[in-house]
Amino acid sequence: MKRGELVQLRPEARVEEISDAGLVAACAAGDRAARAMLFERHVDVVHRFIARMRGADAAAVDDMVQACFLRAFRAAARFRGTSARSWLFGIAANVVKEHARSEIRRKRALGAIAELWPRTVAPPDPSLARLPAAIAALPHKLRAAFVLVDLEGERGSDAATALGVPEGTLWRRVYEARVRLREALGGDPPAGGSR
Amino acid sequence: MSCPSYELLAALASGEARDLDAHLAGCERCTREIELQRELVTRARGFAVPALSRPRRMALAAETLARADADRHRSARITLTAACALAAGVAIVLAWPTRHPRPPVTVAMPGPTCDYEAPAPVVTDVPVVPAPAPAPAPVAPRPAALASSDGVLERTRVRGRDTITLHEGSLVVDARERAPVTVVVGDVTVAVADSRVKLLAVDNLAVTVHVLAGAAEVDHDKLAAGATWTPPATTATSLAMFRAGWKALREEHFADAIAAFDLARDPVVAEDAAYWAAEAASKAGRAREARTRYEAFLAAFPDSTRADAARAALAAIDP
Repeated sequence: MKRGELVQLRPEARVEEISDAGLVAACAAGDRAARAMLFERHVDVVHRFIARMRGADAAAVDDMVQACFLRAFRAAARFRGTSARSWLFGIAANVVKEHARSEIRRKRALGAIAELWPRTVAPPDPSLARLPAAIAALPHKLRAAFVLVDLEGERGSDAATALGVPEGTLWRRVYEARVRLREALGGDPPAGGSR
Repeated sequence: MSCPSYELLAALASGEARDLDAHLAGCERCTREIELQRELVTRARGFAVPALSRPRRMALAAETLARADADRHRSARITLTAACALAAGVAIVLAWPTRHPRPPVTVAMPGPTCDYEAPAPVVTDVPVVPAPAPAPAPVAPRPAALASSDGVLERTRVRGRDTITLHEGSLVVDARERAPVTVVVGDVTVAVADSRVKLLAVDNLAVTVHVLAGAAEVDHDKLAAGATWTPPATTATSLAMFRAGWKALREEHFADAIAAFDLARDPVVAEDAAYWAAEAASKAGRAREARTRYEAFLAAFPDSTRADAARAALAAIDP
Protein backbone atom coordinates (compact mmCIF):
# COMPACT_ATOMS: atom_id res chain seq x y z
CA MET A 1 0.00 0.00 0.00
CA LYS A 2 1.40 3.38 -0.97
CA ARG A 3 1.89 6.14 1.55
CA GLY A 4 -0.94 8.57 1.54
CA GLU A 5 -3.49 6.06 0.37
CA LEU A 6 -6.90 6.15 1.98
CA VAL A 7 -7.11 3.30 4.49
CA GLN A 8 -10.41 1.70 5.24
CA LEU A 9 -10.18 0.21 8.69
CA ARG A 10 -13.35 -1.74 8.05
CA PRO A 11 -13.19 -3.21 4.55
CA GLU A 12 -16.95 -3.50 4.38
CA ALA A 13 -17.40 0.18 5.25
CA ARG A 14 -18.51 2.45 2.46
CA VAL A 15 -16.58 5.62 1.82
CA GLU A 16 -19.68 7.63 2.69
CA GLU A 17 -19.44 6.25 6.22
CA ILE A 18 -15.99 7.68 6.86
CA SER A 19 -16.15 10.45 9.41
CA ASP A 20 -15.11 14.00 8.71
CA ALA A 21 -12.15 13.58 11.01
CA GLY A 22 -11.07 10.50 9.09
CA LEU A 23 -11.42 12.32 5.80
CA VAL A 24 -9.36 15.27 6.99
CA ALA A 25 -6.69 12.89 8.30
CA ALA A 26 -6.57 11.18 4.92
CA CYS A 27 -6.35 14.59 3.25
CA ALA A 28 -3.35 15.37 5.45
CA ALA A 29 -1.71 12.19 4.16
CA GLY A 30 -2.23 13.38 0.59
CA ASP A 31 -5.14 11.14 -0.38
CA ARG A 32 -6.73 12.61 -3.48
CA ALA A 33 -9.94 10.61 -3.06
CA ALA A 34 -10.32 11.96 0.46
CA ARG A 35 -9.86 15.51 -0.78
CA ALA A 36 -12.51 14.95 -3.40
CA MET A 37 -14.85 13.45 -0.82
CA LEU A 38 -14.32 16.29 1.64
CA PHE A 39 -14.94 18.79 -1.12
CA GLU A 40 -18.06 17.00 -2.28
CA ARG A 41 -19.41 16.69 1.22
CA HIS A 42 -19.03 20.33 2.24
CA VAL A 43 -18.83 22.45 -0.87
CA ASP A 44 -22.49 23.37 -0.78
CA VAL A 45 -22.49 24.75 2.74
CA VAL A 46 -19.17 26.49 2.24
CA HIS A 47 -20.41 28.01 -1.00
CA ARG A 48 -23.63 29.14 0.64
CA PHE A 49 -21.80 30.60 3.61
CA ILE A 50 -19.41 32.56 1.43
CA ALA A 51 -22.21 33.71 -0.84
CA ARG A 52 -24.10 34.96 2.18
CA MET A 53 -21.02 36.60 3.58
CA ARG A 54 -20.06 38.36 0.41
CA GLY A 55 -22.95 37.95 -1.97
CA ALA A 56 -20.67 39.17 -4.72
CA ASP A 57 -20.45 38.00 -8.28
CA ALA A 58 -20.44 34.26 -8.70
CA ALA A 59 -16.86 34.16 -9.93
CA ALA A 60 -15.57 35.85 -6.80
CA VAL A 61 -17.56 33.46 -4.61
CA ASP A 62 -16.17 30.50 -6.53
CA ASP A 63 -12.65 31.84 -6.11
CA MET A 64 -13.16 32.10 -2.39
CA VAL A 65 -14.65 28.60 -2.18
CA GLN A 66 -11.63 27.25 -3.98
CA ALA A 67 -9.24 29.21 -1.80
CA CYS A 68 -11.02 27.89 1.26
CA PHE A 69 -10.62 24.26 0.28
CA LEU A 70 -7.04 24.68 -0.86
CA ARG A 71 -6.21 26.24 2.48
CA ALA A 72 -8.05 23.42 4.23
CA PHE A 73 -6.10 20.77 2.34
CA ARG A 74 -2.84 22.45 3.28
CA ALA A 75 -3.85 22.79 6.91
CA ALA A 76 -5.39 19.34 7.23
CA ALA A 77 -2.50 18.06 9.32
CA ARG A 78 -3.29 20.67 11.95
CA PHE A 79 -6.98 19.77 12.24
CA ARG A 80 -7.72 18.90 15.85
CA GLY A 81 -11.49 19.20 16.05
CA THR A 82 -14.32 16.83 15.33
CA SER A 83 -16.46 18.97 13.05
CA ALA A 84 -14.94 19.55 9.65
CA ARG A 85 -17.91 21.75 8.84
CA SER A 86 -17.12 24.25 11.61
CA TRP A 87 -13.44 24.07 10.74
CA LEU A 88 -14.23 24.89 7.13
CA PHE A 89 -16.49 27.75 8.22
CA GLY A 90 -13.60 29.22 10.17
CA ILE A 91 -11.30 28.97 7.19
CA ALA A 92 -13.96 30.41 4.91
CA ALA A 93 -14.50 33.35 7.26
CA ASN A 94 -10.80 34.14 7.11
CA VAL A 95 -10.77 33.82 3.35
CA VAL A 96 -13.68 36.22 3.07
CA LYS A 97 -12.04 38.62 5.47
CA GLU A 98 -8.82 38.66 3.48
CA HIS A 99 -10.78 39.02 0.30
CA ALA A 100 -12.59 42.01 1.71
CA ARG A 101 -9.36 43.81 2.37
CA SER A 102 -9.27 44.75 -1.22
CA GLU A 103 -11.41 47.85 -1.17
CA ILE A 104 -11.97 47.85 -4.88
CA ARG A 105 -13.39 44.38 -4.87
CA ARG A 106 -15.46 45.20 -1.84
CA LYS A 107 -17.09 48.10 -3.62
CA ARG A 108 -17.69 45.93 -6.64
CA ALA A 109 -19.29 43.32 -4.41
CA LEU A 110 -21.56 45.82 -2.75
CA GLY A 111 -22.65 47.06 -6.13
CA ALA A 112 -23.34 43.59 -7.46
CA ILE A 113 -25.12 42.12 -4.49
CA ALA A 114 -28.37 44.01 -4.93
CA GLU A 115 -28.68 42.66 -8.44
CA LEU A 116 -27.65 39.10 -7.71
CA TRP A 117 -30.35 37.84 -5.43
CA PRO A 118 -33.51 39.41 -6.84
CA ARG A 119 -32.56 38.20 -10.26
CA THR A 120 -31.96 34.60 -9.21
CA VAL A 121 -34.21 34.02 -6.24
CA ALA A 122 -37.34 36.07 -5.74
CA PRO A 123 -37.52 37.12 -2.07
CA PRO A 124 -40.71 35.92 -0.44
CA ASP A 125 -40.96 39.09 1.61
CA PRO A 126 -40.49 42.31 -0.39
CA SER A 127 -39.41 44.11 2.74
CA LEU A 128 -36.37 41.83 2.90
CA ALA A 129 -35.07 42.93 -0.49
CA ARG A 130 -32.62 45.11 1.36
CA LEU A 131 -31.31 42.24 3.49
CA PRO A 132 -28.42 41.18 1.23
CA ALA A 133 -27.02 44.67 1.03
CA ALA A 134 -27.59 45.13 4.75
CA ILE A 135 -25.69 41.94 5.53
CA ALA A 136 -22.90 42.92 3.20
CA ALA A 137 -22.65 46.28 4.94
CA LEU A 138 -22.11 44.70 8.35
CA PRO A 139 -18.59 44.63 9.75
CA HIS A 140 -16.93 41.32 9.04
CA LYS A 141 -17.03 40.08 12.63
CA LEU A 142 -20.74 40.73 13.03
CA ARG A 143 -21.54 39.38 9.59
CA ALA A 144 -19.68 36.13 10.17
CA ALA A 145 -21.41 35.57 13.49
CA PHE A 146 -24.85 36.34 12.07
CA VAL A 147 -24.44 34.19 8.97
CA LEU A 148 -23.05 31.26 10.90
CA VAL A 149 -25.59 31.24 13.70
CA ASP A 150 -28.74 32.65 12.16
CA LEU A 151 -28.48 31.64 8.51
CA GLU A 152 -26.39 28.47 8.63
CA GLY A 153 -27.88 27.31 11.91
CA GLU A 154 -24.58 26.55 13.59
CA ARG A 155 -24.67 26.07 17.34
CA GLY A 156 -23.14 28.90 19.32
CA SER A 157 -20.28 26.79 20.62
CA ASP A 158 -19.38 25.53 17.15
CA ALA A 159 -19.57 28.98 15.62
CA ALA A 160 -17.42 30.40 18.40
CA THR A 161 -14.83 27.67 17.78
CA ALA A 162 -14.91 28.32 14.06
CA LEU A 163 -14.34 32.03 14.52
CA GLY A 164 -11.85 31.54 17.32
CA VAL A 165 -13.70 33.66 19.88
CA PRO A 166 -15.30 32.94 23.27
CA GLU A 167 -18.95 31.99 23.13
CA GLY A 168 -20.00 35.12 24.97
CA THR A 169 -18.25 37.26 22.37
CA LEU A 170 -20.03 35.39 19.64
CA TRP A 171 -23.48 36.00 21.12
CA ARG A 172 -22.67 39.65 21.62
CA ARG A 173 -21.79 39.92 17.94
CA VAL A 174 -24.94 38.05 16.96
CA TYR A 175 -27.02 40.42 19.01
CA GLU A 176 -25.36 43.51 17.49
CA ALA A 177 -25.77 42.13 13.98
CA ARG A 178 -29.48 41.50 14.55
CA VAL A 179 -30.00 44.99 15.89
CA ARG A 180 -28.22 46.63 12.95
CA LEU A 181 -30.11 44.53 10.44
CA ARG A 182 -33.40 45.36 12.03
CA GLU A 183 -32.57 49.03 11.79
CA ALA A 184 -31.46 48.64 8.18
CA LEU A 185 -34.72 46.93 7.32
CA GLY A 186 -36.74 49.64 9.00
CA GLY A 187 -37.86 47.56 11.92
CA ASP A 188 -38.34 48.42 15.54
CA PRO A 189 -35.37 49.73 17.45
CA PRO A 190 -33.97 47.43 20.09
CA ALA A 191 -35.91 47.36 23.29
CA GLY A 192 -34.32 48.77 26.38
CA GLY A 193 -31.04 50.55 26.93
CA SER A 194 -27.70 49.37 28.06
CA ARG A 195 -27.46 46.27 30.29
CA MET B 1 -34.76 41.68 39.01
CA SER B 2 -32.27 42.88 36.39
CA CYS B 3 -32.67 41.96 32.71
CA PRO B 4 -30.29 39.40 31.23
CA SER B 5 -27.32 40.52 29.17
CA TYR B 6 -27.44 41.06 25.40
CA GLU B 7 -25.42 37.90 24.92
CA LEU B 8 -27.90 35.86 26.91
CA LEU B 9 -30.85 37.38 25.08
CA ALA B 10 -29.27 36.55 21.74
CA ALA B 11 -28.65 32.98 22.81
CA LEU B 12 -32.15 32.74 24.18
CA ALA B 13 -33.62 33.95 20.89
CA SER B 14 -31.69 31.16 19.18
CA GLY B 15 -32.99 28.61 21.66
CA GLU B 16 -29.64 28.04 23.34
CA ALA B 17 -30.32 29.50 26.78
CA ARG B 18 -32.70 28.25 29.44
CA ASP B 19 -33.88 29.10 32.91
CA LEU B 20 -35.08 32.58 32.04
CA ASP B 21 -38.76 31.76 31.95
CA ALA B 22 -39.40 33.38 35.29
CA HIS B 23 -37.86 36.66 34.18
CA LEU B 24 -39.47 36.67 30.77
CA ALA B 25 -42.89 36.09 32.32
CA GLY B 26 -42.60 39.40 34.12
CA CYS B 27 -40.48 41.46 31.68
CA GLU B 28 -42.37 42.64 28.65
CA ARG B 29 -39.34 44.45 27.21
CA CYS B 30 -37.11 41.36 27.10
CA THR B 31 -39.96 39.25 25.75
CA ARG B 32 -40.52 41.78 22.98
CA GLU B 33 -36.81 41.90 22.17
CA ILE B 34 -36.62 38.14 21.82
CA GLU B 35 -39.70 38.10 19.61
CA LEU B 36 -38.15 40.75 17.33
CA GLN B 37 -34.91 38.84 17.08
CA ARG B 38 -36.68 35.58 16.28
CA GLU B 39 -38.83 37.31 13.67
CA LEU B 40 -35.74 38.73 11.97
CA VAL B 41 -34.01 35.37 11.96
CA THR B 42 -37.11 33.62 10.60
CA ARG B 43 -37.48 36.13 7.82
CA ALA B 44 -33.76 36.10 7.01
CA ARG B 45 -33.76 32.33 6.74
CA GLY B 46 -36.45 32.63 4.12
CA PHE B 47 -33.81 33.84 1.78
CA ALA B 48 -31.96 31.39 -0.37
CA VAL B 49 -28.71 32.17 -2.07
CA PRO B 50 -28.19 30.84 -5.58
CA ALA B 51 -27.13 27.24 -5.28
CA LEU B 52 -24.00 25.98 -6.94
CA SER B 53 -25.04 24.60 -10.30
CA ARG B 54 -23.94 21.04 -11.08
CA PRO B 55 -21.66 21.96 -14.02
CA ARG B 56 -20.06 24.75 -12.05
CA ARG B 57 -19.71 22.46 -9.06
CA MET B 58 -17.94 19.84 -11.14
CA ALA B 59 -15.67 22.40 -12.75
CA LEU B 60 -14.88 23.90 -9.38
CA ALA B 61 -14.09 20.47 -7.95
CA ALA B 62 -11.80 19.59 -10.83
CA GLU B 63 -10.01 22.91 -10.68
CA THR B 64 -9.61 22.83 -6.91
CA LEU B 65 -8.32 19.27 -6.80
CA ALA B 66 -5.90 19.96 -9.65
CA ARG B 67 -4.56 22.98 -7.83
CA ALA B 68 -4.27 20.94 -4.65
CA ASP B 69 -2.21 18.35 -6.56
CA ALA B 70 -0.02 21.11 -7.95
CA ASP B 71 0.40 22.46 -4.43
CA ARG B 72 1.61 19.09 -3.23
CA HIS B 73 4.07 18.73 -6.08
CA ARG B 74 5.37 22.22 -5.54
CA SER B 75 5.76 21.54 -1.83
CA ALA B 76 7.66 18.37 -2.62
CA ARG B 77 9.93 20.25 -4.99
CA ILE B 78 10.54 23.00 -2.46
CA THR B 79 11.35 20.42 0.21
CA LEU B 80 13.75 18.62 -2.11
CA THR B 81 15.44 21.87 -3.11
CA ALA B 82 15.78 22.93 0.51
CA ALA B 83 17.25 19.55 1.42
CA CYS B 84 19.76 19.78 -1.44
CA ALA B 85 20.70 23.32 -0.45
CA LEU B 86 21.16 22.23 3.15
CA ALA B 87 23.27 19.26 2.10
CA ALA B 88 25.37 21.49 -0.15
CA GLY B 89 25.83 23.97 2.68
CA VAL B 90 26.94 21.26 5.07
CA ALA B 91 29.31 19.86 2.44
CA ILE B 92 30.85 23.29 1.86
CA VAL B 93 31.30 23.85 5.57
CA LEU B 94 32.92 20.44 6.03
CA ALA B 95 35.18 20.85 2.99
CA TRP B 96 36.20 24.39 3.88
CA PRO B 97 39.91 24.50 4.70
CA THR B 98 40.75 25.24 8.31
CA ARG B 99 41.61 28.87 8.74
CA HIS B 100 44.78 30.02 10.41
CA PRO B 101 44.17 31.55 13.75
CA ARG B 102 44.30 35.29 13.64
CA PRO B 103 47.34 36.90 15.21
CA PRO B 104 46.57 38.41 18.55
CA VAL B 105 45.73 42.05 18.41
CA THR B 106 48.29 44.16 20.25
CA VAL B 107 47.12 47.42 21.68
CA ALA B 108 49.60 49.89 23.03
CA MET B 109 48.35 50.87 26.44
CA PRO B 110 49.92 53.73 28.37
CA GLY B 111 51.13 52.41 31.65
CA PRO B 112 52.95 53.61 34.69
CA THR B 113 56.61 54.35 34.15
CA CYS B 114 59.25 52.59 36.18
CA ASP B 115 62.96 51.85 36.10
CA TYR B 116 62.54 48.15 35.54
CA GLU B 117 64.25 46.91 32.41
CA ALA B 118 62.80 43.86 30.82
CA PRO B 119 65.28 41.06 30.09
CA ALA B 120 66.23 40.47 26.49
CA PRO B 121 64.26 37.73 24.86
CA VAL B 122 65.87 34.33 24.75
CA VAL B 123 66.95 33.46 21.22
CA THR B 124 67.13 29.80 20.34
CA ASP B 125 68.36 28.04 17.24
CA VAL B 126 65.10 26.32 16.63
CA PRO B 127 64.09 27.20 13.09
CA VAL B 128 60.65 28.58 12.62
CA VAL B 129 58.73 26.29 10.36
CA PRO B 130 55.80 27.94 8.67
CA ALA B 131 52.54 26.15 9.01
CA PRO B 132 51.84 24.03 5.97
CA ALA B 133 49.35 25.47 3.56
CA PRO B 134 45.99 23.78 3.79
CA ALA B 135 45.64 21.04 1.27
CA PRO B 136 43.21 21.90 -1.45
CA ALA B 137 39.98 19.99 -1.37
CA PRO B 138 40.24 16.98 -3.66
CA VAL B 139 38.39 17.47 -6.91
CA ALA B 140 36.84 14.36 -8.38
CA PRO B 141 38.07 13.85 -11.95
CA ARG B 142 35.55 13.79 -14.73
CA PRO B 143 34.45 10.38 -15.91
CA ALA B 144 36.03 8.98 -19.05
CA ALA B 145 34.53 10.04 -22.36
CA LEU B 146 32.99 7.37 -24.56
CA ALA B 147 32.37 7.36 -28.29
CA SER B 148 30.54 4.60 -30.06
CA SER B 149 28.30 4.50 -33.09
CA ASP B 150 27.11 0.94 -32.81
CA GLY B 151 28.19 -0.31 -29.42
CA VAL B 152 25.92 -2.25 -27.14
CA LEU B 153 27.20 -1.50 -23.67
CA GLU B 154 26.37 -0.82 -20.03
CA ARG B 155 28.07 1.61 -17.69
CA THR B 156 28.09 0.94 -13.95
CA ARG B 157 30.29 1.45 -10.91
CA VAL B 158 31.94 -1.64 -9.53
CA ARG B 159 33.72 -1.18 -6.20
CA GLY B 160 33.80 2.55 -6.85
CA ARG B 161 35.39 2.25 -10.28
CA ASP B 162 33.77 3.30 -13.53
CA THR B 163 33.11 0.02 -15.36
CA ILE B 164 31.81 -0.52 -18.87
CA THR B 165 30.59 -3.84 -20.15
CA LEU B 166 30.82 -3.97 -23.93
CA HIS B 167 28.68 -6.62 -25.60
CA GLU B 168 28.82 -5.73 -29.25
CA GLY B 169 30.27 -3.19 -31.63
CA SER B 170 33.11 -0.74 -31.37
CA LEU B 171 33.90 1.66 -28.58
CA VAL B 172 36.46 4.40 -28.10
CA VAL B 173 37.30 5.23 -24.49
CA ASP B 174 39.19 8.43 -23.72
CA ALA B 175 40.40 8.54 -20.12
CA ARG B 176 43.11 11.11 -20.61
CA GLU B 177 42.99 13.59 -17.70
CA ARG B 178 39.85 11.81 -16.61
CA ALA B 179 38.92 9.10 -14.17
CA PRO B 180 40.24 5.62 -15.03
CA VAL B 181 37.78 3.14 -16.40
CA THR B 182 37.59 -0.63 -16.74
CA VAL B 183 36.12 -2.14 -19.88
CA VAL B 184 34.91 -5.73 -19.69
CA VAL B 185 34.30 -7.71 -22.87
CA GLY B 186 33.34 -11.30 -22.12
CA ASP B 187 36.18 -12.64 -20.00
CA VAL B 188 38.65 -9.97 -21.10
CA THR B 189 39.28 -6.98 -18.86
CA VAL B 190 40.84 -3.80 -20.20
CA ALA B 191 42.07 -1.17 -17.76
CA VAL B 192 42.15 2.27 -19.32
CA ALA B 193 43.93 4.97 -17.33
CA ASP B 194 45.15 8.26 -18.75
CA SER B 195 44.93 6.79 -22.24
CA ARG B 196 42.70 6.44 -25.29
CA VAL B 197 41.70 2.97 -26.43
CA LYS B 198 39.52 1.59 -29.20
CA LEU B 199 37.80 -1.74 -28.65
CA LEU B 200 35.83 -4.01 -30.92
CA ALA B 201 33.51 -6.72 -29.64
CA VAL B 202 31.37 -9.30 -31.35
CA ASP B 203 28.83 -11.29 -29.43
CA ASN B 204 30.52 -10.66 -26.07
CA LEU B 205 33.95 -11.57 -27.43
CA ALA B 206 36.79 -9.08 -27.54
CA VAL B 207 38.01 -8.86 -31.12
CA THR B 208 40.61 -6.12 -30.93
CA VAL B 209 41.94 -3.66 -28.41
CA HIS B 210 43.89 -0.87 -30.02
CA VAL B 211 45.74 1.61 -27.86
CA LEU B 212 45.53 4.99 -29.56
CA ALA B 213 47.30 7.05 -26.89
CA GLY B 214 48.89 6.41 -23.53
CA ALA B 215 48.99 2.90 -22.22
CA ALA B 216 46.41 0.29 -21.28
CA GLU B 217 46.32 -3.11 -19.67
CA VAL B 218 44.55 -6.09 -21.20
CA ASP B 219 44.24 -8.88 -18.68
CA HIS B 220 47.20 -7.33 -16.84
CA ASP B 221 49.39 -7.24 -19.98
CA LYS B 222 50.51 -3.71 -20.62
CA LEU B 223 50.09 -2.28 -24.10
CA ALA B 224 51.81 0.90 -25.25
CA ALA B 225 50.39 3.44 -27.66
CA GLY B 226 50.00 1.99 -31.16
CA ALA B 227 49.82 -1.62 -30.00
CA THR B 228 46.87 -3.84 -30.86
CA TRP B 229 45.78 -6.77 -28.78
CA THR B 230 44.01 -9.69 -30.37
CA PRO B 231 42.58 -12.67 -28.55
CA PRO B 232 44.14 -16.16 -28.67
CA ALA B 233 43.06 -18.08 -31.78
CA THR B 234 40.30 -20.39 -30.75
CA THR B 235 37.32 -21.65 -32.66
CA ALA B 236 35.04 -19.34 -30.77
CA THR B 237 37.17 -16.26 -31.36
CA SER B 238 37.72 -17.18 -35.01
CA LEU B 239 33.98 -17.46 -35.57
CA ALA B 240 33.49 -14.16 -33.82
CA MET B 241 36.15 -12.55 -36.00
CA PHE B 242 34.57 -13.96 -39.12
CA ARG B 243 31.17 -12.50 -38.16
CA ALA B 244 32.82 -9.19 -37.32
CA GLY B 245 34.54 -9.21 -40.71
CA TRP B 246 31.30 -9.82 -42.49
CA LYS B 247 29.53 -7.13 -40.52
CA ALA B 248 32.25 -4.62 -41.36
CA LEU B 249 32.23 -5.68 -44.99
CA ARG B 250 28.46 -5.09 -45.29
CA GLU B 251 28.93 -1.70 -43.76
CA GLU B 252 31.78 -1.04 -46.19
CA HIS B 253 34.30 -0.65 -43.37
CA PHE B 254 36.89 -2.50 -45.42
CA ALA B 255 39.90 -1.97 -43.21
CA ASP B 256 38.03 -3.29 -40.20
CA ALA B 257 36.77 -6.19 -42.27
CA ILE B 258 40.28 -7.15 -43.37
CA ALA B 259 41.58 -6.93 -39.81
CA ALA B 260 38.78 -9.12 -38.53
CA PHE B 261 39.11 -11.73 -41.30
CA ASP B 262 42.82 -11.92 -40.61
CA LEU B 263 42.05 -12.97 -37.08
CA ALA B 264 39.72 -15.79 -38.14
CA ARG B 265 42.46 -18.37 -38.25
CA ASP B 266 40.61 -21.47 -37.16
CA PRO B 267 40.42 -24.06 -40.00
CA VAL B 268 36.63 -23.97 -39.81
CA VAL B 269 36.53 -20.43 -41.24
CA ALA B 270 40.08 -19.72 -42.36
CA GLU B 271 39.38 -20.50 -46.07
CA ASP B 272 36.36 -18.20 -46.33
CA ALA B 273 38.06 -15.55 -44.21
CA ALA B 274 41.08 -15.44 -46.51
CA TYR B 275 38.91 -15.10 -49.60
CA TRP B 276 36.71 -12.36 -48.14
CA ALA B 277 39.74 -10.47 -46.87
CA ALA B 278 41.00 -10.34 -50.44
CA GLU B 279 37.56 -9.21 -51.62
CA ALA B 280 37.55 -6.47 -48.97
CA ALA B 281 40.96 -5.25 -50.12
CA SER B 282 39.75 -5.21 -53.72
CA LYS B 283 36.59 -3.25 -52.82
CA ALA B 284 38.73 -0.84 -50.81
CA GLY B 285 40.72 -0.07 -53.96
CA ARG B 286 43.91 -1.54 -52.52
CA ALA B 287 44.83 -3.41 -55.74
CA ARG B 288 48.29 -4.49 -54.74
CA GLU B 289 47.11 -5.86 -51.44
CA ALA B 290 44.14 -7.52 -53.13
CA ARG B 291 46.42 -9.26 -55.61
CA THR B 292 48.69 -10.49 -52.80
CA ARG B 293 45.71 -11.81 -50.85
CA TYR B 294 44.14 -13.59 -53.84
CA GLU B 295 47.47 -15.22 -54.64
CA ALA B 296 47.93 -16.27 -51.02
CA PHE B 297 44.39 -17.68 -51.00
CA LEU B 298 44.98 -19.73 -54.14
CA ALA B 299 48.27 -20.98 -52.72
CA ALA B 300 46.73 -22.01 -49.42
CA PHE B 301 43.47 -23.42 -50.76
CA PRO B 302 44.02 -24.47 -54.39
CA ASP B 303 41.05 -26.82 -54.34
CA SER B 304 38.65 -24.32 -52.85
CA THR B 305 35.25 -23.87 -54.47
CA ARG B 306 36.13 -20.18 -54.58
CA ALA B 307 39.38 -20.75 -56.49
CA ASP B 308 37.81 -19.87 -59.87
CA ALA B 309 36.32 -16.70 -58.46
CA ALA B 310 39.69 -15.76 -57.02
CA ARG B 311 41.42 -16.32 -60.35
CA ALA B 312 38.82 -14.19 -62.15
CA ALA B 313 39.30 -11.43 -59.62
CA LEU B 314 43.07 -11.62 -60.08
CA ALA B 315 42.65 -11.32 -63.82
CA ALA B 316 40.43 -8.30 -63.38
CA ILE B 317 42.98 -6.47 -61.28
CA ASP B 318 45.12 -4.20 -63.42
CA PRO B 319 48.74 -5.31 -63.40
